[in-house]
Amino acid sequence: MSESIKIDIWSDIACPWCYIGKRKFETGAAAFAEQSGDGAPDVIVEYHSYELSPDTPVDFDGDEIDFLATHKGMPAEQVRGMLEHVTGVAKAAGLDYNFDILKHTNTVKAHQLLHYAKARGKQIEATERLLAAYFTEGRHVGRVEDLADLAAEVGLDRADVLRSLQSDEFLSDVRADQALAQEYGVQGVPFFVIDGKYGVSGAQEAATFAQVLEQVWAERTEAATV
Amino acid sequence: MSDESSRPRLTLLGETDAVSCEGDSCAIPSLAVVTAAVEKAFRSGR
Repeated sequence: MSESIKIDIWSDIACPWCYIGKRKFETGAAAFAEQSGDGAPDVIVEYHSYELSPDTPVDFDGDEIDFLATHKGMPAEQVRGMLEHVTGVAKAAGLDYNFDILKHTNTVKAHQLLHYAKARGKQIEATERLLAAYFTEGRHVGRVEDLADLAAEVGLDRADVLRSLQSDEFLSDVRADQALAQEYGVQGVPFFVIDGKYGVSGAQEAATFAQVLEQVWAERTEAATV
Repeated sequence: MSDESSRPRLTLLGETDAVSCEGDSCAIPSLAVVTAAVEKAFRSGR
């Protein structure tokens, strides 16, 4: 019997529900581990690339309201109301979103950085760093120089990150993730695949994540004892 | 790209109406989706 549960998570950096879902999943996984005690399996997480808006330019001169109003044709007041709602939900999850300083950008290079980080055992740290930088700190996560700075903050080699991003070293891995998402039928993110058999869509409540992990683990344990 | 027959089959777990972002026009979810999620959380006491 394997003593771990594998969670594959499809998400985008520019996805407010992905950061909220990440936090809720972490809370749920911690609750599951506590409930399971000494017999708790390791929960192994791997992030996968999903671009919500691949046509977004790297540099956009304006804030999030400007972007959604001009590029998506949404009334500014409606956008403002939506952002206030998301900010409130994020706050309840312990995240201080700041859309006033957010720098809307293309995320394909950020996804490549996450693959670079995965190859060096730093993907979880890099994912958290990029999401926090984008949603709470107003940092730019589309330009390679800015991404290299953020990579260095989680202990990666800045110069080598620059080389990798400038040469699109991991672009094929990004595309492979997107192809697999399509094969799974993923239509929105965050999307969680558990042990390659179960799918969980969206920013579920922490208790739901804990319940799902309990269910999967109970089924695995039961199957092993039959 | 794999064809339909090779697609991994997933069993969906969890709530079916949890909020997510979908496609190019949904980098930010619609107000209706957010409102529904907040109302649901309020009703369930979460």
